[in-house]
Amino acid sequence: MTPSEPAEDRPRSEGRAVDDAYLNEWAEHFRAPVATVELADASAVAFRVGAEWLALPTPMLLRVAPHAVPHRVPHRTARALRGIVNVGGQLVPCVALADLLDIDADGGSARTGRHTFARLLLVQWESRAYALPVADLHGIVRYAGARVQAPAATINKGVQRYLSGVLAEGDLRIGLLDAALLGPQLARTLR
Amino acid sequence: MSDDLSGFSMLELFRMEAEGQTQALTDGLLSVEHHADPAALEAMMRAAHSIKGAAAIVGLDVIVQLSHGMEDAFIAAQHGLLKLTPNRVDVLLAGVDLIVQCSHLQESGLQGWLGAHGDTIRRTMDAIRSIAFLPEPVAMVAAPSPAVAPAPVPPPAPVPAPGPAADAVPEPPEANTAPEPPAQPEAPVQRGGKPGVQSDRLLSLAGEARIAAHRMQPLIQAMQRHKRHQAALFTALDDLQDAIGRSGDPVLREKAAQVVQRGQPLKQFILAHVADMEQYERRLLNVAQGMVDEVLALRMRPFRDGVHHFPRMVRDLARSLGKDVRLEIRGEETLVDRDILARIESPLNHMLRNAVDHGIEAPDARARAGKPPHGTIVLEARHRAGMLNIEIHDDGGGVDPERIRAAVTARRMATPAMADAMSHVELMQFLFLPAFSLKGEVTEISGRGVGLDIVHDTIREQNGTVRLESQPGRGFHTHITLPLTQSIVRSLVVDVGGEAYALPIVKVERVLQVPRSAIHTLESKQFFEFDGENVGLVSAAQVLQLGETMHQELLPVIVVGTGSHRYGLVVDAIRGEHSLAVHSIDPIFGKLRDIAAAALLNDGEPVLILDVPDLLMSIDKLLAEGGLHQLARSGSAARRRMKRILVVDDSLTVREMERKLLTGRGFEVDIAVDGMDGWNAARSGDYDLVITDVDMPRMDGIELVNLIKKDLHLHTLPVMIVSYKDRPEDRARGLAAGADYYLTKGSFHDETLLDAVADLVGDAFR
Repeated sequence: MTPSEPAEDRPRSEGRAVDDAYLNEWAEHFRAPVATVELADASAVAFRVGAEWLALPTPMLLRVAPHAVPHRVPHRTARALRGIVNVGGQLVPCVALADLLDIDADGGSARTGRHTFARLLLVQWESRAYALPVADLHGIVRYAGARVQAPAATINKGVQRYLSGVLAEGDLRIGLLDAALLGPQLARTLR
Repeated sequence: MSDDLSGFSMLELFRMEAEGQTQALTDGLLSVEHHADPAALEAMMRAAHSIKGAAAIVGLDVIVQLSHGMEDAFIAAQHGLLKLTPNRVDVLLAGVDLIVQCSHLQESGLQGWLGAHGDTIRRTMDAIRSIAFLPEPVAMVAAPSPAVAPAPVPPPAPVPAPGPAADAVPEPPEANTAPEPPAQPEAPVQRGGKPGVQSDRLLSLAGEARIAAHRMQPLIQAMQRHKRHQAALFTALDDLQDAIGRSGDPVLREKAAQVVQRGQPLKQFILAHVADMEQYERRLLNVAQGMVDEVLALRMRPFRDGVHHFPRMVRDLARSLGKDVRLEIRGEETLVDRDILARIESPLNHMLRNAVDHGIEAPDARARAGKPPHGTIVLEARHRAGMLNIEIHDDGGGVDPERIRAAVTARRMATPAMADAMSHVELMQFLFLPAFSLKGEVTEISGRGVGLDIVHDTIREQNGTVRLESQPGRGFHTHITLPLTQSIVRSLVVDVGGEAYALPIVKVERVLQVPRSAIHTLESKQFFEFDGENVGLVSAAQVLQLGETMHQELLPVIVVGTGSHRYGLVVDAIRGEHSLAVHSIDPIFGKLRDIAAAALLNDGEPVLILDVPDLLMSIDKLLAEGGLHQLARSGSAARRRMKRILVVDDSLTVREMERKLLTGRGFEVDIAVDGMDGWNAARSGDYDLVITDVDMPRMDGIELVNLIKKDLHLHTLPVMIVSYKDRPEDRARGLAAGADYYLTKGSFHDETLLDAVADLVGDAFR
């Protein structure tokens, strides 16, 4: 974020001769224009379902829990409803985003150089909690609202209806899910 | 109750105070009616006085005046100037009722209430005032009135009826009108809406703590394994050392000794750790169990809380029937789970009303039978053998088993020969049958033959039992046995479709293992013989629509249900008996078919608790509709084919009306509360029709139609507007926005809505 300061490999207390090199080094440091810092005014929790990276607005997130096997609920046929799952002593409905958004849950592979854990995201919609199984969790991404791009015109129609935009984070292209579109769908799986 | 009351408004504080004081007044009045106790009078005077003071602070003038009048009456009674006869108690109780009603009003509702009940209030006030100052005429009937000095008689009260004439008329108007309404205001006062939720949360957290403690066990076992491996290693090392010792190489011997020496502390280390961990686990388990017990105790309420209004109800009812009945409550301090307490209120109420109406005889009949003129009903609660026992007995006429026998024969429920052979206990069971009443005529209170069956069902639902006993001429006795808590259910845990399900142990008739060779087939239905009875086998997985049961040689079978509804439920495996802490899942899913609740097993795995009566009904239904196998498929297929309609309206009534009409036609209906909500739903759902109102908050219907008609994917979706606005220009505006149909609300409740829907999308089937 801040411009990198000149290397100071010795602790300050040891002292360093204030020679020309030293002065120049600092002068260079202060002469450099302040790099424009992006004003991050929004944040989202980014996670992977199948091969796709998606994100939900951070206020929806209640907690991240270790993966647990849901217990099926008889007579409830909503495709995305996996059953109920125990998260910290509470039973919450478990809804598979892969089914809700028509994503191939088996696709995608772990990024190299990272430990990948399947986890449960406990999210909240209209004061009700839902556990969403995810294949990997990227973390909380802070971004400027202006940086969000419109989704590509060719993107799968079914999914597009849940996306409010696309966010570039490193080499990931993260689909921002629209809480107001997804929430009612989550609620509908319970009926 | 917490000490911090700063969060309450003055009115709420007053309400809390009035609640306590009016209860004290009611109790006091009921007790002095039978026996003038100076202490009770003193207490009532204090209560009336406190209410008066508190009401003055919050400015409830009506209550100030009412309580003032009552205070005067109590003072007169204290001085022996006034005897509190039943009629006077009626008048005073009517006053108490008014105070109760008035204190429950919201500030906004006060004026309206005063207006609506002005007459009643005035009459009651006058009546109270006149009993206070006109002791003589009222005392006429009450024979042992203390010699009252001919007190100066004030001018007669403006309303003549209630006061002086109260004794002549058996039921003064107040007694008729006033005692009924308090039933409504009392209901919402139940304490603990929020604390209830909190204690549910606490219970599940405490349960989770217990599960966490149980997770120590695998860790300890791993340590034990480690210890065994280590011991084997040390044995090998010892062998090695021996071998080296024999070889005689001093360097090697030296090194081997060193290795063994180094190894010594490790043995101690692991022993100490295993011991520590075991101790730690024990401590965690104790704490967690203690926590669960304490939270359960939190849910308990004294029996008194559920029954405190019954003495008044019994008294008023008895008086309206011209009887004198006293209700004695014993075991008021007995702790009862608050859910159970709430659910047994109506059965208890019913039993008490029955006792007053059928049980206790009229005073003259009692006199003839040589009984005291007043009847007594005892309601008693106590804990016995880990269950809650509630007994209701009265000293009335009881039920003559011979009359039941006669009724059973008359109704052809059994042949005379069978009826003659029935024992008294068996005959009593008939009283629980629907529409079985012995009372000749139907009264307002009882005799319709509905009731006892409902009492029975309610108690059974709570996993309890009811037993009736009668001694003709001597009284009637009802025994109710209930589990102490609904939060912990002793259950049989089984596997169905690879997942855990539980059956409450009280609902399990038998658990068996049936070899395949013992199963017979008739009409392609499988059954086996058990206790001389043929029990049909039903696969639990099929009833629950979870696929097929595993093929096994020895089938685990659970026998549930009785009589013609007895079935053998085939499961995958039986895990054993567990005490489960119940989690309600109704708030998530609504009522789930065949499922009563959920719980967590010791390892944290969720388990669904089956609703056995519901399950039996599901089985009956499956059989009635022709076989288990076909139904599972046709049921889910039929649901998919329905057309979906989105109803957008900000009025709950209109929404529900439309929803009912449309679901009645077989459509699948979703609702949205305003344009914004509707837009979100329309975009994310796959609908065949949108029906919307025009005037709505956040986004109106016209805008919604605009958005839908401009959307790339939705523009073909038909939209119907249903609005109050019926001017031609409104219609034009709606149609201009792109609506396919414009209907005025005046006509939507009849066939026009359905016709219009049929015009736009056809019938409900795709």
